[in-house]
Amino acid sequence: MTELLQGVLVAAGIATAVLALAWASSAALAVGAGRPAAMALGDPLLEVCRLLRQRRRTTVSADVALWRLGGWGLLPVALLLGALVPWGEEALVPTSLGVVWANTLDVLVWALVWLLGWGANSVAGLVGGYRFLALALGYELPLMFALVAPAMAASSLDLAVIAGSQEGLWYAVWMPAAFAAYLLGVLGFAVQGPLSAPAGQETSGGVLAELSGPDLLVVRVGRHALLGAGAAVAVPLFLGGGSGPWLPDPVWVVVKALVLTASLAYLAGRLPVLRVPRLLEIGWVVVLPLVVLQDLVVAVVVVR
Amino acid sequence: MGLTQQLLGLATRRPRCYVVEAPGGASQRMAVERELDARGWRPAWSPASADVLVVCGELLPELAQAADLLWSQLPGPRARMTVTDPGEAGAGLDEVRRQLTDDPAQRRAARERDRDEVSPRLASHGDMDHGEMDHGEMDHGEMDHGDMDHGDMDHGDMDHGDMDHGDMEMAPGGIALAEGADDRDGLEMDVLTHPLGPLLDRWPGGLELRLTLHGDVVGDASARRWGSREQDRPFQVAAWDAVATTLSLAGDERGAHAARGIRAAMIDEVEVPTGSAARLRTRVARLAAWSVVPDSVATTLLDLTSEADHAPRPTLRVGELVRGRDLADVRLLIASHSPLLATDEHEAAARD
Amino acid sequence: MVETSGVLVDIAFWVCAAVAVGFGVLVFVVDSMARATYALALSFVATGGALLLMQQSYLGVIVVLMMVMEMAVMAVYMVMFMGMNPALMPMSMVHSHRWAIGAAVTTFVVLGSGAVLVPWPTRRGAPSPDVTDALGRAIMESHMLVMMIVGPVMVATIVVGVVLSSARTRYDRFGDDLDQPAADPPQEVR
Repeated sequence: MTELLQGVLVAAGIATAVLALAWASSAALAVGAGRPAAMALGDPLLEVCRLLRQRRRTTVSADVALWRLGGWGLLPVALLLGALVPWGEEALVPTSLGVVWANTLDVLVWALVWLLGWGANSVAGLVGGYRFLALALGYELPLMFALVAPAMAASSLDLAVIAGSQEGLWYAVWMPAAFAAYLLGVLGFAVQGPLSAPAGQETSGGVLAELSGPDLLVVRVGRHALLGAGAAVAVPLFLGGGSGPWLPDPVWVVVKALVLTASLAYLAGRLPVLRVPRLLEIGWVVVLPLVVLQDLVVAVVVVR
Repeated sequence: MGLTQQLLGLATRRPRCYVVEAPGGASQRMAVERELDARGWRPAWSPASADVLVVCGELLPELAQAADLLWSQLPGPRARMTVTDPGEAGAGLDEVRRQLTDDPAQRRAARERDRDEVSPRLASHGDMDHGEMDHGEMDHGEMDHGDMDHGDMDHGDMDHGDMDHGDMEMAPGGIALAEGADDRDGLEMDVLTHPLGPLLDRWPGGLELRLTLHGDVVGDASARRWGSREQDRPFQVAAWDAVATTLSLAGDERGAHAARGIRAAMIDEVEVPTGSAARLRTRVARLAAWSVVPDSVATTLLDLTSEADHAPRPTLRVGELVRGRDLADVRLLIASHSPLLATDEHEAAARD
Repeated sequence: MVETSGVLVDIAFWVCAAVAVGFGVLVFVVDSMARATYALALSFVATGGALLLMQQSYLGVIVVLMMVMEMAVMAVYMVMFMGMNPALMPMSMVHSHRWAIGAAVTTFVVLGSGAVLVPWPTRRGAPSPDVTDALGRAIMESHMLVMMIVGPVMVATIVVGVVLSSARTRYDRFGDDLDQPAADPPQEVR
């Protein structure tokens, strides 16, 4: 019984952490885009109140089941990613295949964002959904190859083991290409920053065009939560997990996740939105070869 | 109760306004944008999540229906305002905020709206008289659409309910299915007629663009101008307005904000801060180099904002400009070329 | 405790099985390509869940990962090739169904009876502590080099296939010597 209670408490803590990261992501993104910091910090609360008050709407012949599934599924995926992160000694859901589960969860976003665009039965939504799949083909392969690098170096797919095997030198330092490709992937499945064309403004918001009220709120929270959760997963993968002086491990994980989220979101806010063909070019022609070379370097180091 | 009032205050602290420009309403729109910037209210990018509909300029009777269709897209609680005098933009925004905060009135309006507009749950098949409702999809010839951007598929709350499929040929929800035609690669793709305008955010007022889409590529385009010729304003203002709108559409909020600052300086006829114009031009060139905006967009913007004395005559045909581009590029192209677009009505359609 | 968890695993297995079969049937019943595709995805996810329950964690998670990705891409192709279906119109997903039903029932009877009637050997020893490692070694240890090469070769084949079938390639954008500035928008086929 106490185990169950403990589990519930930990789950609540993780949910709070992911939502806090979502808040940080939203504020940092706004600051990166030029909004004053005070407004950027207060905007999430104001938008939550505004959108909760707003009425829901639908369109003609919308595929409501798939539409709502796509929209409301983003936040649970982010929470599940949070459950994979070893916040202390081990994660809420300890598994020896944490890396592969993290990858599976971010592939779920493929389905969810396309369904979000499809379900609305609107031109803007369809264009956004298809753009997302094209974009996903560009960032997903570099992301998957980037995930191979820390797993190779630690000889394990377990996030806790990978976090523990970074004594001395964080993986982010000697696997920069993998780290960068991973962060690009995070921006991709969070549909933010340079990879936010599926929700781009030239198509009236793309997949967001027909949403209102609570439906829009969960999608926006979900996007930022995905960015935060992706950054949280990067902490054991590339930033040494909970290692650090003085403070206990969970605090370090939270601090690192927060700093990474804020920096990534700030950068995403500063960079312009890339057009989809451009990202496909960059992803396949530049980033993928670099990451494969990175994997080669890691493999050589590990074998030696 | 105190908590409800507090939450209501938070919910209406910074309403999202969907700003559309009526023909001849450019200076009013710029005044509204300035007011919104000063208050820190971010504009809405789609009417589906907007609180306020702001119509800038005087609305022609022909476009009133378009504005009403846009109004019906707002989910509520909602407010509406028309700005005819640039100076009263601020007062108008205060007023709409007060209207949004008035909860009992909003609830009343919502109940009336639910009663008046047919809901799919309440209406039966026999009650609907298609003649009364102007959904535009039934009669493509007339200008019945308001919110063009959402095209044929979007009615907000309205739905035609459950159709008996046997009665009419393949027209779910009353909208006919698309026919196929060859696109630029010779593949047979469904053809979608997607109207943009005449009332749309960050769009020249009164320009109605009918696109024939294959997927998201424009195969054919025909344009029509509603409303009279725009009032004369200094060309440089229009040029920097084009820069601001394009950068806003491209997602570069910082650049758009800077461009709006330069535009305001031009309107007020004060000295533009040294170097800011040059910095912004470099920024636009860099965006084209990174392929964030198409090359033609950046070239046009740089030409417009160069120090040349003469203002080019507006003679560009919209149809030729957008043929073969994809849907997102269309918005960027129209925004960047807006001072150059021909302003006569009934333009000839550009054939593929 | 062991008994309770055994019962729970049994219940979970039967739930996964029911979901897999139910959603598989739904694929042929629903009226929309997108719904059919994602019903299939859910069916595969349930199959992955069943694999997880059999303690094949790596296989289970890989099934889920790959199937969701494939369904996302397949949805695009189904919508593309199925003409005017995307509306929620009643449509028939089957053709020559008498042959198909016959073949399906026969296959099910053969495989099912094999699974039930074959005298499976009793387990000798215990599963190794790291099941994933053991699986990897069993599959690949003697053919590691081949396995490593097959993956990139397949990717290269897919990419080359797409390039060969594309009507408009780099040479149309950059000119015959790949030295002209990129055409924007891409030109018609030269």
